[in-house]
Amino acid sequence: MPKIDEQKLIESAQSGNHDAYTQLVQLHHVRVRGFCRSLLSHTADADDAAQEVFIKAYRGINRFRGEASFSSWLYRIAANHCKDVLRKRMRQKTDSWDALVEKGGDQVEALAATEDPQHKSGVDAELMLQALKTVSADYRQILLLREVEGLRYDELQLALGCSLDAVKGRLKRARQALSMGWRHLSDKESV
Amino acid sequence: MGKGWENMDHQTIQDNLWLLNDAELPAQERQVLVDHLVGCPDCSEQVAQWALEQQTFSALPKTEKSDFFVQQTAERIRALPERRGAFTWPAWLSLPQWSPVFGAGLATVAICLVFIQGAAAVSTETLLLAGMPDTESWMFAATDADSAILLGLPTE
Ligand SMILES: [Zn+2]
Repeated sequence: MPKIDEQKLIESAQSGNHDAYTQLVQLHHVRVRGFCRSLLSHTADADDAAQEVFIKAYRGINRFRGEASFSSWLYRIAANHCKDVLRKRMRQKTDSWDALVEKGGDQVEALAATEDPQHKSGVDAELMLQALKTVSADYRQILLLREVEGLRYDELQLALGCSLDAVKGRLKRARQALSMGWRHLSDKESV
Repeated sequence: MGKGWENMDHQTIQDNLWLLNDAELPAQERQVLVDHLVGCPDCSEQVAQWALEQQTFSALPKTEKSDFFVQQTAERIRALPERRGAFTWPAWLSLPQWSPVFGAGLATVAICLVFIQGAAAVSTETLLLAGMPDTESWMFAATDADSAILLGLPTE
């Protein structure tokens, strides 16, 4: 959809038009859901979280001034909401934040569980899933956001709440770690 | 050329290969790196390796479109209490020729208030706060859950 149409939808939603806002949800739901899935380790509550994000965005839409893109603004709200969800989980399970982040391995398991075998043709997705398990949760998260959800650097910056240099640095280290894991596993397989 | 990468050390060039890979470089800078790749087997190998891994990422499941999600969200939005629109001044009040009139009016009201209260000296603060409720409640009355969202604060 051209940018101008999105702008019209935003203005219309700001004046209380539900249908215009539903069209905005239609436009952005795939990426916002994917984003929540990446941050919440592909658990069942990721879609609930995405829905809350759209509701919060609707309530605050009059504060959207268009300085950043609408999608970046949604990612920011989503990142904050997912942080809250993780904090809540942490309180409920009397688990530590670090332990939860480390449990990101679940994310990989969930990816494997939902995998469509049709996608597997020609490339070794299984090897990638194994390689992803070898890197830290932070690295896995940025890799999935970038490579699976397709976030740009500026979107990653907003979503992860860090500087552009930090995004570049973390992504570079994550890729190096993944390449190392990948190579290690490939060598093992070929033996 | 901007950054003059042709004169930069190899490590910097390698770092920027990731940006090339992610289409995060302006066209001119991209050309410098592509020229480098032509003559550098190390960097070419790195890029080829990453391309292979990236191809594998595309085999992982992506989030699909969900009409159910959109419909359910729309229903929840409709069930919300009516949202108040953003406050805007009527267009005719925003016309610049009204500014001196409002300014003079506001100053007159403030000065009258000060005289009524019998205060001799008029501070800027007194003028600005004249007629306002208790400062603290007035300042914080605007804070609500929605602004907390945008400030990144917990909303509960
Ligand atoms: Zn090189």
